Amino acid sequence: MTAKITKLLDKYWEGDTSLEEEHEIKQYFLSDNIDKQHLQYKGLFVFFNQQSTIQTTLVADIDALLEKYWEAETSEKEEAILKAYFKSNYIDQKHEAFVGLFDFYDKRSQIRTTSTTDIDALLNKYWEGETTEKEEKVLKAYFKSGQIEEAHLPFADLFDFFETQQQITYPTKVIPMQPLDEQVHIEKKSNVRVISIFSRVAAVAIFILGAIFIFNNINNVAQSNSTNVYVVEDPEEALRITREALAMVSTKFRESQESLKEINSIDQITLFKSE
Amino acid sequence: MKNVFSIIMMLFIGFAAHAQNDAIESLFKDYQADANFKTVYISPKMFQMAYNATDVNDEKELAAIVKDLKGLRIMSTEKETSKIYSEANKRLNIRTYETLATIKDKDTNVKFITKETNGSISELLLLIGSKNKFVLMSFTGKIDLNKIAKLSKKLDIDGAEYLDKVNSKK
Repeated sequence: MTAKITKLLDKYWEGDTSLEEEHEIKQYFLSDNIDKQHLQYKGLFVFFNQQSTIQTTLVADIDALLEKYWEAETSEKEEAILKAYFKSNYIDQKHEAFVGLFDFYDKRSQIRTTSTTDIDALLNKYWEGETTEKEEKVLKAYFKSGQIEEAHLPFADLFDFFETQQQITYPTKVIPMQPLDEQVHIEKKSNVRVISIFSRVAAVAIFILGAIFIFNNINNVAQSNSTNVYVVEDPEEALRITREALAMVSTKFRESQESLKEINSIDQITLFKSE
Repeated sequence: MKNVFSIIMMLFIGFAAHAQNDAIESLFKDYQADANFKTVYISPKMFQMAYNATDVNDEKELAAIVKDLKGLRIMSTEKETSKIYSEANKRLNIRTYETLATIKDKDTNVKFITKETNGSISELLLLIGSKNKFVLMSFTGKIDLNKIAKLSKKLDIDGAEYLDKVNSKK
C-alpha cells in the first residue's frame, strides 16, 4: 500500500495522474492510517480537499456569475464555468430552474438545432402571466443574448422595450442591474466631478472678485484725484512747479548736509580748544 | 485643487504688495478728501511734456532730472499742522521705505524718506511740518539725489520765491 502510494505521489508531482488515481490519493490522505513518510503531505491534501469543497459550495459565486450572465456581461471563461456548473451534478436547488436553459444553449451550440421548445414553453407561460421571476430572467437573458430564433425575433423588441421602460420608470436607479460596488463607484466618481467643477467655479469667482477689488481701488484713486486735486495740465506750469519742488528738496537736503558740517566744525573747534 | 490654491496664494501676495503701496496711496487719498488740503498732481505724461518744454541748453541739470521723473504730488495745509505731521510720520513708517535724513529746527521738522528699487531711488518723499505749514511731496521715477543736490545752488534764487510762500518764516 505504502509503496503504491509513493509511486502514485511521484506520478502526481509530475502531473501524470489520472482522475481515479488522484481520487485514490485523496482517500488515502483523508483516512487515518497514513504512513509516516507521507505525513508531511497530509496537510497539503487536506487543504486541497477543503478548497475543492469550498469552491463547490460557493453558491454565491454562481449567483454572482448568473447576475452577470443575465446582463450579458460575462466573459467566455465565466460562461464556461457556468456551463460546467450546470452540467455537473452539484447544482444548488435555487439554480435548478436554469438548468434547462443552459442545457438548451449547450445543445444549440453543439448541434445548432432549431428546437426552441424550452423558450416557446416559457413564452407561452409568459403570455399567460404565469412565469416566475426566474423564468422571466431566463427569457430576458435569451432575448439579450443575440442568439434569437427567427420565430422569436418579433418579441425581441418587446423585451428590449420592457428593459428600457424599467430604467425610465426608476430614474434613481438608472443602472439597476449593476453590481452594487460598481454603482457606488460611479456615484463617487460623479461626486468628485462635482467637487472639481465647484473648485473651478470658486477659483474663477475669487479671481473675478479680486479683479473687481483692484479695479475699484484704482477707480477710487482716480475719482478722488479729480475732486480736490489740482491736476497740472500745462507743461510750462508743470515745469515751474517741479522746479520749485526740486528747489525745496535740494535746499532742505543741503540744509541737512550743512547742519552735519556745522556739527563737525563744532567738534573740531572744541577739539582744538581742549588741546 | 493645487492650481486653485496657487491662484489664491498669488492673489494674496498681490494684495500684500498692493497694501504697501496703499499706505502712501491711502494717505494721499485721505488728505485729498480733506478740504483744508491743497493738492497738486503732475502725471507721467505731463512730465514727458515738461521735459520737452525745457530749454536743454539753459537748464541742463533740471532737464536731466525731469527726464527721469514719473510723477509728482504735493499736498499742503495750514491747519493742525503739527498733528498732521506726526500722523503722516507714523503712517509713512513702512518697512520698504527708508528715512534718508531728518532735520529739526526750532519749530520746523523736515524728513526725507526714500524707497529704493534695483539700487536706485524710485520714490522720494519730503515731509515738512512747521507751526503753520505742512507739506508732503512725493516724487516718483528714477531719482538721483546727487543731481538734485547739484541743482540746488542754481535754483536757490528761482526757488526762493516758492520757498517764501511755503515756509514764510524763512
